[in-house]
Amino acid sequence: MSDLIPPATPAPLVVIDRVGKSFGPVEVLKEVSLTVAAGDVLSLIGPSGSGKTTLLRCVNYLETYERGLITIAGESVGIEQLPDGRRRRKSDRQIAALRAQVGMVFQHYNLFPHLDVLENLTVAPCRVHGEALGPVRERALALLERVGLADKRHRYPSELSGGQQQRVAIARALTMQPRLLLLDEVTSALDPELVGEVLDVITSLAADGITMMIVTHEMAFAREVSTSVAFMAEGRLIENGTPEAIFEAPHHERLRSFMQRYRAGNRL
Amino acid sequence: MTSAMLTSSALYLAQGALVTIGLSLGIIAVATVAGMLLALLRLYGWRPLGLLAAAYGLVARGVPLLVLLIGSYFSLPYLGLDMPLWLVVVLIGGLYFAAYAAEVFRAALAAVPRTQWDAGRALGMRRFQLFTIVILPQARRLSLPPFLNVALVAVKNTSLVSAIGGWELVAAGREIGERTMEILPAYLAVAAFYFVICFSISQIGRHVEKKMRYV
Repeated sequence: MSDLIPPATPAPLVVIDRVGKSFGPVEVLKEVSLTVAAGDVLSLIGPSGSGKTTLLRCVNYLETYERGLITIAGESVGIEQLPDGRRRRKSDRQIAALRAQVGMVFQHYNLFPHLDVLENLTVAPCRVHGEALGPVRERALALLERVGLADKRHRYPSELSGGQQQRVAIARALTMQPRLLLLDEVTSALDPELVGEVLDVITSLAADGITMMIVTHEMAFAREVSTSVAFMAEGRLIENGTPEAIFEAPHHERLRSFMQRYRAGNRL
Repeated sequence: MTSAMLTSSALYLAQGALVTIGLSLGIIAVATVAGMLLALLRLYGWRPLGLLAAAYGLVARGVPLLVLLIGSYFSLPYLGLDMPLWLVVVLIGGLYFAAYAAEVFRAALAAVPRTQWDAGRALGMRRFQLFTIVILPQARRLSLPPFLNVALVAVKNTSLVSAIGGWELVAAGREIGERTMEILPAYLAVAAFYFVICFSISQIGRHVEKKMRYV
């Protein structure tokens, strides 16, 4: 982006620029480029093993990437591009500081089993980021109220259903007041009858303008909640656009056959 | 045996039991600290140090404690280290059981799912914070039952001290047996004392474990 010409639209919050990653000889991400504006909800869809989750984990540097660059609000994620072209891993402190601004919700919830629900929410802001317990507690209780679990605040994760645990995990990520929320197949481990309660929470977050990147296999949900959808296959970004464009007028053959299979499986 | 003799014998054994308890506590304390250090080195330490810790574990677990105690008690003075017997026992016993404790801690730390690290990292925790806030409390609970096992073996192995001329519960029992010519009752009493000590440790352990239960 040029310094001389003011951009017509505000700079995107997340810029993924030709990102590549390999596990040994296997290239799992190939030149993936994407942007997410503040307030956007981007859904990443595609077959298993297409690299969606890996890409999502690169955005908060839970995974390293070897090529290209990801930036969040102009700040590069995980690595520094030196003037001479070399790349250097940022310090642990810098990486942690960036992660504190990016919330993540996992497929298997990953709540801390030895802490009760409220402590799960307050532990990072209070014990790691030095915030005072009072305001954090208030924020946490408001978020628990919002996900409908205020009465469970002194329960332990093992005493909750999967859907409840996942709602706690969402509240935990939000207690950090992140500028971006990453959701990694958050309903894939849930019993079918519990999926709805989690999707409802996410839909309400989208309505509030929380910026999200969502890896999902729930096509109807992706279509309803997203402002844009990106389809990945074999580590490549195949096609991206509005939900209407992707679901109703897919261009790429790979995407069309993927959609057909979903329709055949009665999942759309 | 008169009742006065019985009372004084019981008191004498109780003194021996106190020595046994003291030695045990010292050994368990050293084993806990050193064992944790060894486990951390093996899991997260600089690789050469980790291998050294592994080698230490193999050697310590491959040699009888009695041999280590005799060897060190009688050779340390030649190295200019003139330590009282109790200190030798606490240090050598502690380092010996540290090898077993290290295995317990290592297994418990490794048993905390990798996804817990992911969750902590995603919340902006750094390695040390994540370890102390998330991993260690979970590993502590997992390690308690097997660690208790190690502690019980350590308590009973303090009896080796009487074999190198030290005085504790077994030695007290032997003296009483020889004095009263009631060998079997004396050793039965010694066994009872050991049982009470070990049973108490088990009960305390069970209580702590119950308090830590969250799954």
